[in-house]
Amino acid sequence: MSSNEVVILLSLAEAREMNVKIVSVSLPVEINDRIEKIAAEQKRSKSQIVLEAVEKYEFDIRWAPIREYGDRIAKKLGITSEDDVEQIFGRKAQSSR
Amino acid sequence: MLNKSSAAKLKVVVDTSVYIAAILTSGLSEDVLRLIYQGYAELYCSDDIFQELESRLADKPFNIEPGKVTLVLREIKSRARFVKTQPIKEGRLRDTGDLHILECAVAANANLIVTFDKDLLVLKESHGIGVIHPRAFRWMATER
Repeated sequence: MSSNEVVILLSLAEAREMNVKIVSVSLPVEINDRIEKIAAEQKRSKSQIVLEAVEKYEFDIRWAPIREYGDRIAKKLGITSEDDVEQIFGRKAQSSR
Repeated sequence: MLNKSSAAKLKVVVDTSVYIAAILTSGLSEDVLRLIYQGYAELYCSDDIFQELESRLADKPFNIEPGKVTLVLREIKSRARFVKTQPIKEGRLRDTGDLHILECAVAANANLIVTFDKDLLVLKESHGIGVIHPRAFRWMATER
C-alpha cells in the first residue's frame, strides 16, 4: 500500500466520523484551477469553497421565482428599497401606540 | 464570524417583516435568509408566525396571489424547525400582537430574534434572547 492509499483510508474514516461523503466530480481544468485559487486566497479548503457555492446556488434557484414575483409586487406598491418595507412596519409600530 | 459547525450554530427566529422584505427587495433580508441556507444559523418558526406571514402576504397592502403565498410558505417550511409555543409574559412589549414572536423564540430556546419591527427592536433583549436588526445579523455572520 502506498502512502497515498493510507491517506485515503484515513480520510474515509474521518469522513464517516464527520458525516461527509467523499465524492469524485469531473470539472474542467480551468474551473478546478479557479477553485484552488479561491481556496488559497480565502485560506479555506476546496471542499469548503464548493460547499458554499452549492449552498448559495440552492438559495438562488429556490428564492429566484419568489423574488421575481416580489419585484412585480414591489413595483406596483412603489417599494424601491428595504427602507420602504421597514417604513411599512414602522408605521405599524407608531399606529399601535 | 458565526461558526457553521452544528455545535455552535445559533438558533434564530425571523420575524414576518424580514420574510416580507426578502420577498420584495434585494438586500439585508435576502442576505439573512441566504446565510441561514448556508448554515450559519438554524431557523425556528411557529404556527402563529406562519399564520401571520400567510395573512400579511395575502392582505393589504401586499395582496400576494394565493399560489405565490403557498410557494413562499412551502419554501420557509422546508428550512424551518417548528416549535410548539406556550404563553409568556413581557410587560415591556408595546404591541402585544408581537408576543407570538417572543413565544416562538422562548419555545425554541433561541439565541436571537431578527426583525425590522421597532416594537421588538426596542426591547434589545427578552427572556435572555437578543433582538436584533437584520443588519446586525449579517454583520455577525460575515464579519471576519
